[in-house]
Amino acid sequence: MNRREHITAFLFVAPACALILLFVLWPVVNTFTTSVYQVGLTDPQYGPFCGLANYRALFDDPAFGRSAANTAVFTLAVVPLQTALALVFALWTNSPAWSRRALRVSVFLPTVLSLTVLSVLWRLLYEPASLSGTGLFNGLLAGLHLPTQPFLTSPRQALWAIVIMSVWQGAGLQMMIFLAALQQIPAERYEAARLDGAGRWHQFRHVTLPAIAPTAFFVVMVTTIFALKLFVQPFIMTRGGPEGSTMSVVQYIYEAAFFARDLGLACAAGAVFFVAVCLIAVAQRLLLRVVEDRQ
Amino acid sequence: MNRSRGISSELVSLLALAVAVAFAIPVLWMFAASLKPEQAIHEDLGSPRSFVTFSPTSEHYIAAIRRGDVSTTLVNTFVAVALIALGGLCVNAPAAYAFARMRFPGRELIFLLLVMTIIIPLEVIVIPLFLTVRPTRSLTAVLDERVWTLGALSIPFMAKAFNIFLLRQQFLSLPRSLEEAAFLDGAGWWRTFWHVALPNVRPAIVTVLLLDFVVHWNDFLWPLVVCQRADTRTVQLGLANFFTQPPILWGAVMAYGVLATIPMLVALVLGQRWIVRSLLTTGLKQ
Repeated sequence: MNRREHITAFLFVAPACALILLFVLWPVVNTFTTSVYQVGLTDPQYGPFCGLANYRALFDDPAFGRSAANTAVFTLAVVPLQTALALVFALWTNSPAWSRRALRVSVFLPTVLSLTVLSVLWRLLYEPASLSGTGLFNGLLAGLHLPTQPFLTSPRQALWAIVIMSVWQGAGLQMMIFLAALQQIPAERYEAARLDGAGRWHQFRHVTLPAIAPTAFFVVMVTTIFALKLFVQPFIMTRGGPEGSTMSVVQYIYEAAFFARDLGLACAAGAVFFVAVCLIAVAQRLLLRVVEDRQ
Repeated sequence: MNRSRGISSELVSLLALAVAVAFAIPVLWMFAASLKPEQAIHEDLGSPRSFVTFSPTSEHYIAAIRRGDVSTTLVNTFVAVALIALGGLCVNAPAAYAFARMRFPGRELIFLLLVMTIIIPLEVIVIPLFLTVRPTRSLTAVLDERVWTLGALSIPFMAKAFNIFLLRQQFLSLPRSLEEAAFLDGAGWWRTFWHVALPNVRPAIVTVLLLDFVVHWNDFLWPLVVCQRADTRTVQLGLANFFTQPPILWGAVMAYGVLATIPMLVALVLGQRWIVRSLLTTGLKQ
């Protein structure tokens, strides 16, 4: 009986495990093994073993440093902005009034739309003033008699234009997660705080904030990983330009593989990226533990 | 005192509506631009007329279908996404059930390893994943290129640790008495799973199918890597490609965007109450 249960269980679990092994874990291993060989995109076989030469080439390439810096700036800007905005909207729309429900729907809508469609859309919205067609934002600026902006065509503004678009796109999902957490807080706690004479700020500081802290942490972690994977927005809106100012790590990996046709280099970049993502996730975990111990 | 509070709460409501409109501006503009003559799109900029159209035209939708071949890309995407969702259910549901109910050596360890794969983003492994599926391209001598692309688009994403996790939670929340009754009637594991457990987690199944549908409908990077012929492209890729082919007609590009959006919005609206129900039952039974 027990043997038969084991065999049945194995048959139930095996297909899913085999697919995950083949399409998730094997590629992870392959990232590291491929990164120490010379391999061209169309080579039928791996070239010679080259040790850490791909890594050396990677760290000598200023474009990689640039893309890592861009991705870091993007992440450091998007995560706090988006989390703060999501929290504000969650607090604001945590009410049955129909105007708040309208706001909730409107903020949530972009998160379910495709990033590709929205990137194409915002590329047109950001279009600089020109004869061939001015974008909506510059049209509005001109309508208000304000100076028009180059947005995506300026190396100084492009990454920030993408940050704003990404915050607009992503805040809704986190707002929903925060809302779910807010609705779990029992009303009696606010009642008790009010009886103790706590004002609105004190209620927020001593009832709301502690109750949603675990959710906030979860939200920050997920958003960080999402921000690190930045690719679609700059790839469609700017192709990484102007002057490499919006090139992301994922686009660097993609171009190393399919434009420079150097799979060894692409996998070395992938390996560095993988380790960085894991380290950041672990660091955030540790930070949480330190904060929890303090309290 | 009371009256002033009433006024200020009205003001806050108005402000909420204003922010709601501001957030929706890009999407409103996309719909409006897809429906008005190209010249009107540019003439209306900077005025509230940007968001309405008095002379709707279908010319952009016709251009997107003729020039951009939206119908082919929509069919490709739909088939690939349906394969992911249904194929995924076939492998994920039995695994989830085994992790929830059966006893076998290494169960906890395997489950833990699976859950850990949730955080590995596709973006990190996209090149080696391409190396994994590439050797099968020689099959295109036997298979059609379109068939190969559909397989490459769908098979790697069928098994999904997150879906196994979600379904397992649902199976765990079922009362055991249901399945014990089936066992007493002489049903084996397979029949109990198929006839008793699975029908009882229907909202969760719809949720999982829908999540797969929405997530993969929007895929961009992986189709960019594997779709190498125009007739194998997915709709997102088709849009990105259409967008780079001069002359860029704004109306047609926006019409393409609307067409790429609507199937997914319809799926979400239809499935919304199932998602809510499955999340609610998870909460109630724990």
